[in-house]
Amino acid sequence: MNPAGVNPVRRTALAVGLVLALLILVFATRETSRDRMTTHLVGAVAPAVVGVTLDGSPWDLDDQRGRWVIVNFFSTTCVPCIREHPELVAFAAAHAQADDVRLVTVAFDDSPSAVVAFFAEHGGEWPVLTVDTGRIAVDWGVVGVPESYLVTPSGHVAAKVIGGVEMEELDDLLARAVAAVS
Amino acid sequence: MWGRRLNATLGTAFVALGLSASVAGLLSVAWGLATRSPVFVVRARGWVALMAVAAVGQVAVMERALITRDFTVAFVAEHGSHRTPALFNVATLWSALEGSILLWVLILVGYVVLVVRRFRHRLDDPVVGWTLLVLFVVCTFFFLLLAGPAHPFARFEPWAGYDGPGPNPLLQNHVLMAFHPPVLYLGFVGFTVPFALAVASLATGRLGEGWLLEARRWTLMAWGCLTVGILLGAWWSYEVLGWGGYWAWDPVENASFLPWLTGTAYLHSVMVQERQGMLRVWNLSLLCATFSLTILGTFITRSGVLESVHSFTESGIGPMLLGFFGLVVVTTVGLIAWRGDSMRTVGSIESPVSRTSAFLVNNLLFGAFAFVVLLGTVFPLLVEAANGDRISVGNPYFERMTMPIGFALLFLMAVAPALPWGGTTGATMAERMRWPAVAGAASMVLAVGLGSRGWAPTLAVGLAGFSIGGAVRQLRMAVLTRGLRGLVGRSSGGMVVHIGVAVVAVAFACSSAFIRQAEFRFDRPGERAVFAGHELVFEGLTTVELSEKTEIRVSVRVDGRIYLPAISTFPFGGQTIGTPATRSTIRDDLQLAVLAVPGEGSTTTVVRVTVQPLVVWLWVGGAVMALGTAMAAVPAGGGRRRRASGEAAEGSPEGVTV
Amino acid sequence: MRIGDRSLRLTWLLVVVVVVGSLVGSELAERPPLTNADRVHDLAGDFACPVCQGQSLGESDVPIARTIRTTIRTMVDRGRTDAEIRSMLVARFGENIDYTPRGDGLVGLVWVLPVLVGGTAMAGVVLSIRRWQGRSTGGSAPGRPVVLGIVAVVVVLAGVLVARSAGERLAGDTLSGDIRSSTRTLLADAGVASPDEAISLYSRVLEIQPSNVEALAYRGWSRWRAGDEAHGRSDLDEAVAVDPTYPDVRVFRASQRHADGDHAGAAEDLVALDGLMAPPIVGDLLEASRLRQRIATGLAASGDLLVALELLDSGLGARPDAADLLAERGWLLVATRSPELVGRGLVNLDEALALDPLDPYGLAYRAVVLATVADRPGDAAVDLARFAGLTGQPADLVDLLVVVGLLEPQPEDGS
Repeated sequence: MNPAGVNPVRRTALAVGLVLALLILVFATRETSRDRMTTHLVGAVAPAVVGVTLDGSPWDLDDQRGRWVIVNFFSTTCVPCIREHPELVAFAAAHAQADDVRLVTVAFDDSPSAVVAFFAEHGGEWPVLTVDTGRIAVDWGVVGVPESYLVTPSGHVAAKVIGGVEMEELDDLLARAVAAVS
Repeated sequence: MWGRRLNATLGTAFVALGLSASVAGLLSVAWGLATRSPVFVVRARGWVALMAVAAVGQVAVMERALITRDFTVAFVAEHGSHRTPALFNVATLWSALEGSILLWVLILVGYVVLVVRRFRHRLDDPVVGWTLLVLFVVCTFFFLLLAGPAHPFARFEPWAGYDGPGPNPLLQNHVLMAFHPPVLYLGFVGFTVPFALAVASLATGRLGEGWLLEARRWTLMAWGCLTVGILLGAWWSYEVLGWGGYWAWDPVENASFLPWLTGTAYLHSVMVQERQGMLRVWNLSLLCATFSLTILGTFITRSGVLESVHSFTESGIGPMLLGFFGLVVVTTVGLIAWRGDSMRTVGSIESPVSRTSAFLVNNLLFGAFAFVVLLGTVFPLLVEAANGDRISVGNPYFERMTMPIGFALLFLMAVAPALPWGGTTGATMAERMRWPAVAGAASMVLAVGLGSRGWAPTLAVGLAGFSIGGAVRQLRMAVLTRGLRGLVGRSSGGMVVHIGVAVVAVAFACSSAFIRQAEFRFDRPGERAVFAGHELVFEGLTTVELSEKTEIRVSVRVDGRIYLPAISTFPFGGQTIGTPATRSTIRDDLQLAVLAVPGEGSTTTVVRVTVQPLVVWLWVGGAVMALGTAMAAVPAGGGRRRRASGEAAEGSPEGVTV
Repeated sequence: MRIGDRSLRLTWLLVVVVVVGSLVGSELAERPPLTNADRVHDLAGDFACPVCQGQSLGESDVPIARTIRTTIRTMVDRGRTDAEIRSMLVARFGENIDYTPRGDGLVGLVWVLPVLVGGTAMAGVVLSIRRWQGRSTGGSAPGRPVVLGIVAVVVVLAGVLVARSAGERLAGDTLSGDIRSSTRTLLADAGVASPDEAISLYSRVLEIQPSNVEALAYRGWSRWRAGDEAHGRSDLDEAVAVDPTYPDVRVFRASQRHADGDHAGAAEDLVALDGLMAPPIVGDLLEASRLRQRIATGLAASGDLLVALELLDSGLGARPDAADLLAERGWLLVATRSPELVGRGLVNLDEALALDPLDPYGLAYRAVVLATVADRPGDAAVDLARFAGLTGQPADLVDLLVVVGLLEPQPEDGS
């Protein structure tokens, strides 16, 4: 029935089997947790951060050239943000004298009055932007709060932290970034 | 009345019983086949009965636990709630992973019972034996899942006053939640039986006409349920998501669609096998592929490797499902590689313009369709494995790639039923297709007149009209030759299914091509807006406190009638879910979804309005397909069967081996 | 010819005409106008929501999705093309926000493979049909490889064509149109580039926006330092002319004027600077370079003590606790050798050291004054000791102390 030695069905079946085996291998090695750390912003020029602070004065990231800046994205309804807030307060206090790093909070998808009340109760004297912050979030590619970015004095993004930060972590990050630049 | 923890204990006992019975049955049948002593196979009936007791028992126990809110069972503690209305507690069973496996096992064991009953007089036949063996293996696997990673009867210690979170709010406690999963599973699980028959055929090397007919019947039933299940799922998504979308080429949706594609290919291709004895190995492969795809689909839905809004929460059953998929693939490929060549017959075609060729092209088109869908679904994983990049493959890809295949299938659907098996000339076909072609052209003109713009939807309408014309022609001929009795039976039922498919195709093409969407902001009652030929008047808001959620209903008068889209806040977890309101007419659907309600800093209500033509016809087309399947399942009468067995190139029921 | 045949032919002709006519008509007929909202809806459906599991931007209602939809809406209203919007989204959120896979590279395979497989399968079906039709295999065997080869080539080309057209992309690395963003990026990158690169980057900015003061000022400064003094000067002057309130250029021009010997002009610039709100980098630059003090020294040396003092006072007005400026002021007063002024100078030095006890200039100057003019060698020794204890002693101060005789000359060790 068939020419000797040629078994097309077997060949096809084995070829298909091989492809499927590869597919199973790929499936078996995938991780299920989604990795959301898109780091394409690190090293690039920091997108604009322009707005009006809680007390009505204008604030622009470009005016801070010469200083390291920590841009912190925040919301009063997010638990890790609330948990990291005292750390930021301590960090700001520790660096207030030297003024070598400045802090700015961008409140994302939140009501201004809630943010005002939160800062009044929990402290924090640095600039906080609340109005029209959606545009800033889109420009920075922020998908969830909290997220913090370290911006170099020349206006580039040095590092990105997803999730709540601790003061030690920020200091360490800053020290390493300063060492890398100088 | 029931002691504490009785439900959990009893449930676990049933799982253990089921597992033992399926293992015992497996061993019994294997022994019977190996030693060629059919008595062991016959004894398996007892094991099947025990499995049935176990399957029914565990579902009954779980339902009881859900309805009585017995929080000592972990599953109920995680998914049940006092606030959920009583009826929905029944459906909560399949709203989460472990319960869905319980449902799967119940349906699977039900099918096994049906198989044993059907073949009760032929249990000594090795083909039946092998079928039962495969079925026992599958049952064992699923009982293993229940005993291991997906254990539904784990215990829980509720504290005083504990109340569970209820089922996932996204499921909305919509009435379709009660129907979609069971019907879908009837489809998925149903493909296990033809798969078992296919493996039995390969293992024994026998492919008599009787087994062929059996496999086809089971496949038809499973296919019909799967069709309805998929459409119910689309309908449910449409009602619940509020974006006017019913099909998003989402991985879970694709996973349910793939077995449907190969199943449809099989149902057509098997006719070539009946008629001319060709494509045997191909058809067996299709059956095996269909079942493998159901397992793959289960894996995708439950393992979390691909994100989907429809997936269950991640769990540990992914590796086991993948392992089982691997086992199925290895077994199938091995069997086909070993036996396939000896079961082939040399094909013969008299003319390229014949139904045989049309079915070959049909196989090709469905194969390509399945390949495109499968490739698009798993491609992000492949790219990530190759170089770590994360990409997405979504709607634009699938639409663009499947559109030409869809058009080709519509055309084939029209022409193939009129093609004779043996071949014909173009002139004959031109004569036969004359009135269907006129119907197609007329429907195109009608479409353009009614507002169809763009070549793609217009062509889709034309081809659908052509198909319906062809199908009606066949039905007319059947009635003319056999009277009303001619309306039942495989070919006429198939024509009705074709009509349903054409209707669905038109609805799909037109609703996606002519969808319009806008957001409207309302501040004060009485404000009105006009959109896509409809008038909307904002009437106000009401807040309703229900047991499981707080609902803010927005009252909108559309063309005179009030509709109440709502936005609900669920206290547990603080989720906010929108409940859209839909106005369906024959001409179009208007869907309202609330995006924002007045809150701090704003008094504006934002409502999204989606208008799509012909959506209702999707569901109508689906019902026609179901009707056609039922009609096809009715035997067409003795005459046809005799004729078929006389002409078949299949040989005797013992089959032909070389 | 039978009547049936002719009517059949006519029917089919009519059908073809109607079909073609409908298709053409549906394309050409007037459609209801596509609003911007429709365009936004279509676009939103083609992109994934970055945080949701498997929903598109259009379907999802989470805040980020709504924000991105608003951004898309704004861009659509401004007339951006679909390709530009796609580039923007991919640049912000990564490649996996786009539901349409690219047409090139490994990803392009997803377009090519189905065409490849489909075409090959079709060829296989056609070949099978021909074979099963009973044609002799001998006749077609020589032709078969050629046919297969042609089919393979056609199929691959078709696949690549599909991939190209479907996965088309704009080169989306810079956003054209929004001048602020594009020049901003160039300026920031110039800030960390090498001098030649920086000059060309600034020139590019000036091509886009000829009146960009930042580019003018920094290019002037870069050119001047690179030796192209004439162009540097003109750039700086132009920057000041365009925007007198821009702080950075004042520092640059002051430095340039000071180097040219025009101390009065340099002082003018610094005084103007003191009236502006400058970014920290400007203040840092001034402090580090001691520009103000050097200009003041230059002024005093050419006889304009008053102007020098004004300059220093202006600086003190902006930074009252600037110990280094106070120290310089004291030194200049002392240097006049007029007793009254020396007294006031000493007061200044005391104030400076009260503000910052470890200021090297304050310590050195006061040591000199105390040792020479005020004749308090003991206190001078204290200051000297403190000065000697400092790490990093400015070289000019060491020279000064050596010249005055308070320090032993140190061997040249390259420190």
